[in-house]
Amino acid sequence: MKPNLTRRSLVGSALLAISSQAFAHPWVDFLGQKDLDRSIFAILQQYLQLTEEDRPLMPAFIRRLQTKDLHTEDPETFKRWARGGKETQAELEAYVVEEFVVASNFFAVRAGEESRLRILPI
Amino acid sequence: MGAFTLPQNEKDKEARQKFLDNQPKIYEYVDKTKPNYKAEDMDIGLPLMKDPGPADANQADWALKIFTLFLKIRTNEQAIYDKTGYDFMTPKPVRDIPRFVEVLKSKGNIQDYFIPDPGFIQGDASMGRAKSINDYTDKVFVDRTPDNKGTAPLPDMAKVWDKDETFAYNFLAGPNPNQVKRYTLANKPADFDLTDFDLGSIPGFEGDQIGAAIAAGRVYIVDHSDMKELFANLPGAPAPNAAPRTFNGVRSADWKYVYAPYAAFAVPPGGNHMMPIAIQCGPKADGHQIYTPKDGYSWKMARACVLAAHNNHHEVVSHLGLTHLLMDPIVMATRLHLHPDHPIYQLLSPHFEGTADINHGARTSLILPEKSVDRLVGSKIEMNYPYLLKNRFGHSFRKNFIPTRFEAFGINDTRLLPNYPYREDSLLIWNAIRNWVSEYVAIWYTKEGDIQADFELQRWANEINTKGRVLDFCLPGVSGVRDRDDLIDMLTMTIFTCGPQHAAVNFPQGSEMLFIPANPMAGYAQAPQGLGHSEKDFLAILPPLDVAVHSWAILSTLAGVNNTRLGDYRGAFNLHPKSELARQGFLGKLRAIEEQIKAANKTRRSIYNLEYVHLLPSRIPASINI
Repeated sequence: MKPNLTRRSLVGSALLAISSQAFAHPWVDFLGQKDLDRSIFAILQQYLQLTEEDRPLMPAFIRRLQTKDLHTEDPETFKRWARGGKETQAELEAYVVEEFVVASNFFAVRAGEESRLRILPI
Repeated sequence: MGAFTLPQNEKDKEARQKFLDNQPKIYEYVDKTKPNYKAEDMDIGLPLMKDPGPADANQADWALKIFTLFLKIRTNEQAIYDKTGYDFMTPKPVRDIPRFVEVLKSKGNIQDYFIPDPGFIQGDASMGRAKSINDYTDKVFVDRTPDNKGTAPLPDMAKVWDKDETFAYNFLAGPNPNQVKRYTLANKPADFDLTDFDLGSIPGFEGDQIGAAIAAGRVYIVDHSDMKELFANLPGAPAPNAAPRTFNGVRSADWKYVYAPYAAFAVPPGGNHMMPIAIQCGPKADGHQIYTPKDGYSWKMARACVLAAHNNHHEVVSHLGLTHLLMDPIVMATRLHLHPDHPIYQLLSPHFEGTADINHGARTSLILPEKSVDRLVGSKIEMNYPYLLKNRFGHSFRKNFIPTRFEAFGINDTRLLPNYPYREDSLLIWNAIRNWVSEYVAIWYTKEGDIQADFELQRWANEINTKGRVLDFCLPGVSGVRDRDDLIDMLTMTIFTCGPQHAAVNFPQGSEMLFIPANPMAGYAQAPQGLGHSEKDFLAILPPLDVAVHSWAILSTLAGVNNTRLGDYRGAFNLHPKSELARQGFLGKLRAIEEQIKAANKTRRSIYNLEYVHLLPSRIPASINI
């Protein structure tokens, strides 16, 4: 979201990325944490213009999609779409984009009320 | 924004005036006579802000809430499509990235994306009519688990809607809770004369006499007879009060109806709440008779007619006209005449958060032909505009101060009319707001002369009274603000309308109105004539299921966004310790009121099987933003 990355924010992002991955849930084994992070991030980068600075948010966002009652599809459906490759890519993209705007402070950042994206606490 | 200052004390008067001089370039009234007018601006004849300015946007917390809510509502909508088998005219709403991205950029219509009007049910000879009352639960509240969770839980109202106590509750604590008046010999309508009514024959009133009850002040009335003005009188229609059902240019074969009824209520001697005793669904001259609770399904049909009229009035007048659109010119005048450093601007602005924005949306979408209001209320949409204008322009600001209105309507005596939740709770909050505003005004206007010297404030009040056409905003013979007491009155009523009054008329839509047999907004058959009606006749007057589905979605939206909080000024007074201290006092009073209402709700539940939660301070937004 923020076009001007500073050295300081990059360092911060790297640290956050390490700490986020450290407590990733085991359920993501089905795809591999890194692959899943990468594919979800690519979707959000494409449609919501997330930047490298936002990449560390992916584990927390993906964990949230695995928590019941917080979103509009059950975790099994998300898992199926994430595994499905090209056949389910369209469903995955649409789902992830809609869910990210309500799982994060997307609107606050867009309105200039906050400066950096974060996943909202559950 | 600097420190708060009255204009007469401003150091840089020139810069302040320059700022205000620029405001008319940003804030214009919508006006079809202006060269820059476009048809989509929708001048409906009221003084309204043409385009919301930078200070009028909802904040990000609002956007987050409405998107989250829409995802939830769409889930039930999808379940309705999937599980009922209904072939609606509009395809099932689904995720669609390009459209969603357009919505995020405010280029697409958010409602049409998430919860489009489904339109009529196609290929159904019954035109979507319910075959039993259960259809209104099973075909509407579909995404619901056995323990009543999911995205469409049934509200408590669905369990008690059919009782006469609940019918009475609707007028004391429902979506349109300030229409009850005491019935007296002096004000009785000539066309609804109850002086010979056999009150003693009504269950619960054995031995009582109507003359004694009227004399004691125990009889009350809701009079919607002026809704005759909403009759469309269309050539070829089955009746003067019929209007076509249309969607996307398609006409349904059936019609919807609006009524002009009277309903009478009485409190039994020594009783603790009022009960309905008589209903007349329209003028006697049109053949309408009086129904009583002894009349079986004919009575239930008469109740449905009253509710349909009452809720039509609610949406057009009490909700849209007398909260949203009444506040719009006050927002305008505030933006035009008060500098953001003005202490009254700072007091009012949080109460206007999102108002012009949501009003703009309503004016340019929700109330257009074939859009949601047209689809849901009984009257033809074009008939609503003159009725809305008449009621908005005729609504006296001062005669509707909460204590004044209760007294004028003869409903202020808690012994004669006990257990009136809206009256009890609204008075508590009115008084708390008045105290807070009084302290605030005293901080900033230390002597009476400060009011007259405040030229921004004087222009502000004058604008509302003249261009804003808010009747009696200024005292008779005064063209601005007379004194501090006068300002306190103006501010109390404004803040009360933005917060508690809008909460009282908006949020019951999500509890009392979701289950549509409890509170229909239109009828779908003529009012009953004669006696001996059946359940089938009753079902025929209730809304078809396409209306029930769309109504559920729209009302869930309107009642589902509860943003900002009464008493929260988003930090406006952080640098002003005296004002902040007064605000803290206000918050303390609101907390005490919260406990008082919770205690009262125990009694209410024992009487009505329902509580009244809409004026709990913890649930009252600061502003009209949905």
